[in-house]
Amino acid sequence: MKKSKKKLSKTKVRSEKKIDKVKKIKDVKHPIRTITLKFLILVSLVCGGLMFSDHQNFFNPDNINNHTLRKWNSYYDFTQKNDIDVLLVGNSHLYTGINPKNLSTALGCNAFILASPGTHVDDHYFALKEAIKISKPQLVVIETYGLKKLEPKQKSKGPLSDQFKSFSARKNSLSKITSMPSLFAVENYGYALSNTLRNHNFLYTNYDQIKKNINNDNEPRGDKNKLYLGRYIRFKTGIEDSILTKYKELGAPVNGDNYETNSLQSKYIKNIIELCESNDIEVIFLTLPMYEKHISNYDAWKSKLKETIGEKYSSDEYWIDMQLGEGYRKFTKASFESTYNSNQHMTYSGSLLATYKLVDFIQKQKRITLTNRRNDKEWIDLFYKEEGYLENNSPRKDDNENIVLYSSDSEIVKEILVLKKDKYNTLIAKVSPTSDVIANSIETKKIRVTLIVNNNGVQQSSYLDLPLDIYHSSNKKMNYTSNIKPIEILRISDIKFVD
Amino acid sequence: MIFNSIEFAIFFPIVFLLYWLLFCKTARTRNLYIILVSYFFYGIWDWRFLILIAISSLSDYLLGLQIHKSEDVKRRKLFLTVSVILNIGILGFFKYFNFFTDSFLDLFTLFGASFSYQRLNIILPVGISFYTFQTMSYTFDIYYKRLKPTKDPFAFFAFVSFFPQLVAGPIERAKDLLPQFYTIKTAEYSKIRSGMLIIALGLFKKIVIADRLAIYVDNVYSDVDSAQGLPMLMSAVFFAFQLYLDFSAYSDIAIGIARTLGFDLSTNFKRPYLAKSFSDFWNRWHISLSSWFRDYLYIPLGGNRNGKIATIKNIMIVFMVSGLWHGAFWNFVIWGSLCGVFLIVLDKSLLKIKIGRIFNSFIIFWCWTLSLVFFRSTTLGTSVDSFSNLGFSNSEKLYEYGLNSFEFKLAICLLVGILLIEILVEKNKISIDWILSKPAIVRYVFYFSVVVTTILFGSYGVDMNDNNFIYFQF
Repeated sequence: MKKSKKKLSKTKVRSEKKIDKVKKIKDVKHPIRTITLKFLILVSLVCGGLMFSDHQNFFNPDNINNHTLRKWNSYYDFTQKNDIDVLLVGNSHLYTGINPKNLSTALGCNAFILASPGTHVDDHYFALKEAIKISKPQLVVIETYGLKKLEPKQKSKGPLSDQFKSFSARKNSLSKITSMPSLFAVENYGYALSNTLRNHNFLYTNYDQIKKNINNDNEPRGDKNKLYLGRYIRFKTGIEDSILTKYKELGAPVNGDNYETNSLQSKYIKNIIELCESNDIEVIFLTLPMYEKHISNYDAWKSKLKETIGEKYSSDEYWIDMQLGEGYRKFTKASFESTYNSNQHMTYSGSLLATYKLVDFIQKQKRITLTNRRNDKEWIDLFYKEEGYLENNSPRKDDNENIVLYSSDSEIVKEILVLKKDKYNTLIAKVSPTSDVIANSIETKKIRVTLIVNNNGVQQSSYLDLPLDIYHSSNKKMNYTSNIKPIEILRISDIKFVD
Repeated sequence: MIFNSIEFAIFFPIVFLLYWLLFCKTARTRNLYIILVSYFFYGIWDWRFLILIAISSLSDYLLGLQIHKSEDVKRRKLFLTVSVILNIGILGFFKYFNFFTDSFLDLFTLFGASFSYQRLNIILPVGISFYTFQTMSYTFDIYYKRLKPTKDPFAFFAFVSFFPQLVAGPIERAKDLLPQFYTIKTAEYSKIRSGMLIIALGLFKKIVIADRLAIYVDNVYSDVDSAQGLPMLMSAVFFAFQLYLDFSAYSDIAIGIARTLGFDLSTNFKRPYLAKSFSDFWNRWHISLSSWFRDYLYIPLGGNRNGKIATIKNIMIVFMVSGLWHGAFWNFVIWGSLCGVFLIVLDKSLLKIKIGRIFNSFIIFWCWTLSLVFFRSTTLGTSVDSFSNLGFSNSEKLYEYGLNSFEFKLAICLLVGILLIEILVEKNKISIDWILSKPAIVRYVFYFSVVVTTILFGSYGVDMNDNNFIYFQF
């Protein structure tokens, strides 16, 4: 009896307490203020958690193969100590089609490629905007493959994923947030801003990646201390016979008639031009080619693109179109990726041809003045051991490995040097034709260099014919090269052009 | 704009704050505000749909007044008929025109005649079946003198277009919801808090469980021919849960949103998979629609008052119409008919069997699950194929339909968890109030966990399919 009374009284107390609590809840003086405050605290906690996870890269995808991230990281690092002179913006066509180290060393300046795969002109604009805030270049080069009809709100999954990568790699939060409405549909804002939201499904599908990320085992590929200017070499061999057969049987996979443009695309092209003009930056457009049989009705493509770029910038002074390129440095099947897909990239050798064509174009435009850094010690230190430096510049005086055998200011052959390599040496004769006529007359010739060499203590004379190195030659500087055995060269006794 | 979208996550907090801070001073301004935001919410899909909802609201408002004013039974009947024709006309045209013309022509083709005609490209306005039924119930209730018509057009328009329940219910009765638009609301902390928790739990159910099950179900049904044996069977089970969790989540979110605005909507689901009979099931499943059909179709047809055969006939009519309400396809008619047959044939036997409630629930669940094969299939042909593919073979292919082994097992665990929670709720051991009565630290950890779990384990993202609520299509 007592027990049940006690139980009853306990229940009573409990229920009274509950009523008090309910009353207390009802008595909240400013319910909306309180609930808003608490809601905001909860949202802040959740957002804080997300930011923490994003910062720790728990849900980052495979960074090891994310060269977009590597490119931007390198850009931020590079610009801390150096200025950018030539900035190239585009997508995969650009970073496989231009070699920034050769471009830099040939022009004597700093050239950087900020190109993200699968992106279009809208992303190019925002990438450029962010890039010039950090370092203002003297010249901006826009590759035209990304200048296509734009419908950013309807991006399909593939391009959207590329867009996320490019967006994520940029660091300026304010620029990112202001660019979001232009790049993404509202439902993708969260995914654009947070890797955790975007890749939360890794919990189910890619748990190993999360483990890697937690163990900090997910740094982008490449040595941080090595110079990286945004190049990505993907294709080394050219078009195979099977693809050539397909061209014959099926025709070109790309038809210029199908190329579409729209006002949004034009708007962004205009924005890019205005952005450059308002910052006193020269801008040029660059069309990197596809194999001639890969595209049909290119004229239709070109005329539509011309319309969107506008009269001024589609003139020959502002637009270098390599699709119709001819001459001794003509692109061949070795210059292109072996694919029948519509999206054809260039090979390493093709990219060298394209790079020196671009060098020619830039040097030909008198309005473009780039800082000459060839005498800048820091620039020399930066590029000295990089590819293209010695093909375009003289070795340092203290260089005991790469030796100048001959130099002249007055002759057409300006310099002959021997470059030391692992298994063999390379002899390079640098020729500066004084006019295009001379250049045309010597492009098919070889340079015969007669050398006096030390052969086991005996001086001997022998000659070597150096053919034109089409991959490292511009109109103003033509390189004739040949590999030679590692032998001591005492002097050069004769230099002449031969057929 | 769907509840599990970023647009709604922006829309609702703004609506909520403006509602309480600016527009709740008088009932009229509040109602006007609700109409505006609801029309905005609905117009986002397609602004042209607004014309339909406005026509439906205006006509039923005026006809309701006329029915009430008229003493003459014939005139009352005439106004009711006009209301029914108008509402069913709109619904019929947008939802059933192509279905009936196709069926009609198929019938002629069966007898050798051939016709060629251009199908009309009609877009089905979102939620048309829901708000049409809601407004129709208003005129019916006035006709049957259960309700006096409102003279306040703002209250009526707000009642019809009230955005939380506009596109997928609960189908509210005017007598329950309309009076709530007459009174001034004051913000109640406890009500808003519980509303928010109901929303969060609804989103959890939808995003974490229903949408993950959807991956499997969609993959199986996209290739019925190859999904033979156990994968097909599991997809049927998963769909039964997906449908329940998806729709009940929508109802929960609607109820929660309305509650934060000071409105009470009716309960739409009461743990249907714990039903002990088929009639019990229909008292727990999509209650607002089941009761609508009971009150405005089954009882007017005579209900169970005219003997066994008439009762069977009435039940079958109700379930076939209910099937057709869900979609203008013969699949839905067959699904509805099957539900009717289960109720007529099995219910009495189930009530007689005294093995235990779990057994009854088990039988009901499987009957329901099998009937849903017709509900989920897009054509009669795929329904038949799906049925013939049900079985226990091909267990090695179980994880080939979008869910890997871990996801699949997790889904099973979550479903078991849901059932256990439902049993505890059924036994009054836990409830929303139970959670809210816990100490602050426990509550906040719970809230935080629900949100974080939804974010981390939810099925959403750019690679995911469109995660609309299933009942939006009806």
